[in-house]
Amino acid sequence: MEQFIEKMVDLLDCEEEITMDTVLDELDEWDSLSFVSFLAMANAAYGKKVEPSDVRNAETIGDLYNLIK
Amino acid sequence: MSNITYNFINQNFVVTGASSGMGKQVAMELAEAGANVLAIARGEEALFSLKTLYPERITVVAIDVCDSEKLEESIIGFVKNKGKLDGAVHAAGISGLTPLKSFDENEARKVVDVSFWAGVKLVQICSKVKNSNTGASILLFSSVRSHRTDKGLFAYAGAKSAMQIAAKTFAKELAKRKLRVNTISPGWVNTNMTDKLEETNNLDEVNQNHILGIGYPADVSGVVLFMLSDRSKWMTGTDVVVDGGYLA
Repeated sequence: MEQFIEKMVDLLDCEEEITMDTVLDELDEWDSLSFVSFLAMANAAYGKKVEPSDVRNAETIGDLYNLIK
Repeated sequence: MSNITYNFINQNFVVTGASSGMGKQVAMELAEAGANVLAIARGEEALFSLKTLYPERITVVAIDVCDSEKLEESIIGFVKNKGKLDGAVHAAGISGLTPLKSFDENEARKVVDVSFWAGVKLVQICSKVKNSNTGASILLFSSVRSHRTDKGLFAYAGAKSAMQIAAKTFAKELAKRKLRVNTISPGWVNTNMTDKLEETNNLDEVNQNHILGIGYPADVSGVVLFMLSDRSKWMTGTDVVVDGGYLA
């Protein structure tokens, strides 16, 4: 889980603290580019082919974690 | 004495390929203008002689620019000591003739690794929030060969061409933070690299078409400093040709 948070910090490239409860819509960095970066990271790091619609429905970092675990 | 002097006091820059040619010239001029420079190259000896010119401003690291782990380590170390980056220049490049019928695949890949892949990694590392200030400018060396190529140059020209379109892509990805990414395409400039090419290139064609004559590193470095400065702050995702009229 910690490793996932680290990867998300890297992917979002933000300096604020990120937790599983962080709300995606409240992050400036969660935009169309980080959206596709997440899809690519899920595949490259976790071997998961995540559906874009599932990512669109995710509200928190924890919801994204549930897509790759 | 030039018409222009730049002020880069307290700003921090990374320069690859800094031990010779255009990279060295850029590193020296940035230091002269007051910047802190992380000079990266393979040649340890040449780097140390560069450092003796501006011992307080120039930090040197002798690594292969293609070793992205060491590249990142050295940049993080520099940022820790001097502060976040205001820009980066990827001047590292190797020539190497790769005629279609007989090219050495390892050599061709190395040409692409140094010119293109190392440039991509440099942008990735330098553009991170923890490593760069808002508005930082990244300049990647392309070449007039991406506009007009010649026999035996597919790897070199291909890599330099790829760098241009990658820079445009990165410019779009990084504009949100006001980071700028551009390329520069020099014509034939007298350096160690072109010394090696002299034997095999058609020098008559080169001489004839550089209508302002063959260039020197200082003919290009002024434009590099401009592209790193705030006077070019509305330029991103573009290629700047500095070629003595070669493409005219």
